[in-house]
Amino acid sequence: MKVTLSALAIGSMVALSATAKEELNIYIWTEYTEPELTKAFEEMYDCKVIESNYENCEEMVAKLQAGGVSQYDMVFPSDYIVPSMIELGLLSELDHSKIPNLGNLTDTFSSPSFDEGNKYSVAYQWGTVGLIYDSEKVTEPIDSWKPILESEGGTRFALFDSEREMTGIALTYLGYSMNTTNKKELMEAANLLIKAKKKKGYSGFVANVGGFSKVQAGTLDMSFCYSGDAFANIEESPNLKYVIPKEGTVVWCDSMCITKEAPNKELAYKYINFILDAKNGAQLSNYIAFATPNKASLPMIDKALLENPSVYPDAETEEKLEFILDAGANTAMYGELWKMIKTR
Amino acid sequence: MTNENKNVPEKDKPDGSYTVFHGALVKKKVLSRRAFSFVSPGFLWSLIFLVIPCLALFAVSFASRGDYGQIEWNFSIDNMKRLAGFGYFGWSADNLLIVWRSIVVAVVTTFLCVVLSYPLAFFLVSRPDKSRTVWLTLLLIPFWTNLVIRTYAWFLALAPNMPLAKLLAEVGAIEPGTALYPSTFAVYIGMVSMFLPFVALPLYTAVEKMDWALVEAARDLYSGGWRVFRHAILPQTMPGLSVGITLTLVPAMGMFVVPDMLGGSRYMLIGNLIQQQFGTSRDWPFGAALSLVLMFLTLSALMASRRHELKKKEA
Repeated sequence: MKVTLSALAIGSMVALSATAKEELNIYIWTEYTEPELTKAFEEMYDCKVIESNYENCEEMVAKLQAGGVSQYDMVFPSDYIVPSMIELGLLSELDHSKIPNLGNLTDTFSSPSFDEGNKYSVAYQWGTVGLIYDSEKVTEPIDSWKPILESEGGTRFALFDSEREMTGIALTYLGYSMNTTNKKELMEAANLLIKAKKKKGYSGFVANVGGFSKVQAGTLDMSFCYSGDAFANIEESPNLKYVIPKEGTVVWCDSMCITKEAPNKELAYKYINFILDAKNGAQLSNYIAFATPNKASLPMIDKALLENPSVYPDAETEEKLEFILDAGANTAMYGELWKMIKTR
Repeated sequence: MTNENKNVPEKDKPDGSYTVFHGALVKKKVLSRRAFSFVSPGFLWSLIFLVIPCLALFAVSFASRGDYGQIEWNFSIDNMKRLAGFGYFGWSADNLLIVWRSIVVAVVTTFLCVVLSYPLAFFLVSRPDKSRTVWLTLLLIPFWTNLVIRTYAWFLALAPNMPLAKLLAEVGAIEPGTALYPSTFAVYIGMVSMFLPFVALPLYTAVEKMDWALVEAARDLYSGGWRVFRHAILPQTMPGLSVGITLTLVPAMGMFVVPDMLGGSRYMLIGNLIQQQFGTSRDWPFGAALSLVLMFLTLSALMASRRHELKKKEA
């Protein structure tokens, strides 16, 4: 009995290895890949890409900590959470010799503040948080956060339901760094937002693409919105405008990382290098409408996207963009500030 | 029960180790083993999936958050201090306000459900047997869809171009072209539609078993509508009512999805605060401490109502 069983096991293993292709398990945000590009990668390296999705970084980290670290080959964390993931030992250090296309990254992303020297991460896509408004209802052109943070009259608006990004924008508007730990500055930002909640046009908090959808549906006049969410759908409604206000805003970047115990590291390196290729990078960003961190891809990006300063900010605006950094020991302080803003 | 005593050999006949169970002579050991095998699966299930996690929650609430969101096992009562409102920006009443709001939302929801369920229960009972099944099914149909999807359905129903909003705009209650959400009204619509069956069904079973002679007697003694309800109907439907209230009040206290979606996330409820700790803040110890508070609140409400019932029974 035992003999037949082990013979069966060996037999099936042989059969499997003969037919099964190599697998690359990627754990990524929803709707964040270009299907044609994935197919091309699968053909090129005779493998199968298996995609799993998450809705927020915290969910992804929790899953990796619960054993996913040896289940997935690649993850795509946002900037602020990368340092935590490095400290928690969830990411493996990258061998740059296996990523020849690494030189294609623009200067901003070749050594970002959250991972100096690209030791653990390589930028995938980036974007900003801006202001979306209906130009039929808000007739004066907007270039500042003032109309939404200190709204006058009955302009209907919503605040952004994202702890660090919302407080970050309020801090930027007041002229402070969005990574400040100065309690006086933080309180000032909280009070600004609490005051905004008392305005006539205030209609709650919205998260992710919610703000865009509500402005598009006409239930709001203006709202906060991620650049990609806006440009993936803006063509349907020509009266909608997206701006990066002059005070500056949050810039974010999702990176490609290899997990600490990735089953197939070699294939993961090939994937990173594949995405960093000029043509492939352009194809990806043209499809999902976020900005590419790939210098070599820029000439092949659609004109409409490339010439839009809200997707690819000009040098002057770029100076006012700031990454949100992990607050480390001060996370609880930001949490408490957010509780205050939400409660009062 | 098998009659085990029939084939028992002479030497094993009754001594202290035997007992009579449902008319059968059974060895006490066998009986207790049988009882144990019946009870243990359920017991083990709650031990592994309820008691141990609760104990873990208790233990974690005394740990603290490491700089990178990990749990650090250094015994501290910092989380309790934070619960009491002492924080980075001095003492604040925010926590109390959050708990108070959660209680208000839960109590108002329960009250609305009870008020709506009484007529509903009497209506259901008065239907002929055949069509009653249909009505009960209608009440249960919403459970076939997921809570979040049902809430999205309310978005649609309360949108500006739908009949309800149009009607209210016509009457002048709201400005034309505005949606009925986010608003307190929308929150309670969502909450009541979520919890109504939990009150209506137990109440229905209570009303079904009601002794109408008592109502008639009360009427014969010239009592008005309110007194009939208070003295003849309420005491009889109390068992169903208290089950319904418990089933609504307890989960409504921790509910945050519906108030968030239909209320526009204006306010924080205790459910949101707990979610924040396990989400963006990655502060499991404080989240555990908050969960304990919620558990304490609901348990003490349950115990209070249980004690009330026991007292009633004694009297």
